[in-house]
Amino acid sequence: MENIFEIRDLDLYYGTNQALKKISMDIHRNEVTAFIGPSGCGKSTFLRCFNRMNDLIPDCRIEGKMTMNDTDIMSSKVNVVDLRTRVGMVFQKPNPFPMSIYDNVAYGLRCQNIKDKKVLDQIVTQSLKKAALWEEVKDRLNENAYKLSGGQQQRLCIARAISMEPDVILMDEPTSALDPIATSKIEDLIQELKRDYTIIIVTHSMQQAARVSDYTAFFLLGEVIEFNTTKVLFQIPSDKRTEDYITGRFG
Amino acid sequence: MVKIDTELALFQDSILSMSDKVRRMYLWALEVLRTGNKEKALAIIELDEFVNNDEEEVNDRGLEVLSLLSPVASDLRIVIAGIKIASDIERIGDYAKNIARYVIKNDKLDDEVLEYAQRIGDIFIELYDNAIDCYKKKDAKTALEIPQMDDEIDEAFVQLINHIEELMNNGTTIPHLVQTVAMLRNIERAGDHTKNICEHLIYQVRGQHYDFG
Repeated sequence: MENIFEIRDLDLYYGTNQALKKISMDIHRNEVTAFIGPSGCGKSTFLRCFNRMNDLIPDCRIEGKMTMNDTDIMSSKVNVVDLRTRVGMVFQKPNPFPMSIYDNVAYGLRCQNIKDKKVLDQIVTQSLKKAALWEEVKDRLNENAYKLSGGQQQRLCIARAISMEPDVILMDEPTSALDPIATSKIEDLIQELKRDYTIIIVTHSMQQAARVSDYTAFFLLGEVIEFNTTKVLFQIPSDKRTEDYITGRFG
Repeated sequence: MVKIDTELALFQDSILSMSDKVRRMYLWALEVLRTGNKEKALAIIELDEFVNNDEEEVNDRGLEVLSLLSPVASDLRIVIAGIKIASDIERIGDYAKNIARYVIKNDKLDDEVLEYAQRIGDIFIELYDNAIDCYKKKDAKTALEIPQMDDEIDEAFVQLINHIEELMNNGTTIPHLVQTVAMLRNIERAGDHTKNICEHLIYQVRGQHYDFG
């Protein structure tokens, strides 16, 4: 199994407050890795390290090592825009741009100066197909994206991320604002997407982590308590704190 | 106490209540084998109906926990192991019922055969009590040692068969020989199912499959 990310002894501070403590783990390519843990445990903070989103937070300081394909992504020499092209992100609340469905997906490409209509058409179609949205929107690509349902908007955001042909898709609680049917569609989609992409997902739903992921990391107070295959973590967790959390006896 | 704790406690209680009935059935089976009391044998057969219902109740409770509370880790293993343990206890009840049926249809056993049967039965009860006690206490460590006692049962059963062969070689006729040996086999088979109970308990506590062979 090939590692896409290798993280060693990563510490993260917000000012003087240490939010992540000595995190070390490997993220495998074309697998789904889930981060679970109670609110404030650092899982979303850690997720934001993968595409340097924490750079946007003042007073945030990171120590330790994080490599993507053996390249140090914490280095100041890294082109962050380029990194974020390769590491796409989908957020908790669907955030389409106030423009047409087509333009949403084509937005990133146009930013990269791709203007050829044929190329744009092809990538938009392909991305919407990969995001399992094509059949629902193919006849109304010029409609405003806000007219789509929440679940469709979220898949549109996934299509927008895919259009940039990333290696990795980060998902920060991607279904917490969606109903069960839309959630199930996104979960099915995650299974499809992992053939082409590495997916890292933060979720509050342990059942979701169990359903969609290959590996799960349990975070508590900024530490990774246990990181293992999802199968082992949910069947025979080795740490009492993991067991207490996943069985609902925490705290 | 979280809701699942209450539900799992009820689930375990159903299994223990079922195991009590089966223990009584087995003790009665040994008794009617000695006394030939056909009425009591009938009572064993009736009690088996209750045990079958108990097993269904255990399964229903287990399904309820699975469907409504989505157990994971040790909670999930308690349900899976519990359902299997209930199935093994139910089978032991069936063996007691088979002995009762034999008593209803046949005359009393030869005294010496009876003595062997009683010995096997006594070892079984000790084995069974230990296994159920381990289940109650979630004690996988002791459960690992218990099955050695099943070897004693197997050994005693071999001695019993040798004794029957000896009787036959000496010209003694044993009426309904096939049924008698089959019935005696029931006493011995109950030990194997108790061994299974220990295997399931070890899985429940440790998450490891264990095969006593």
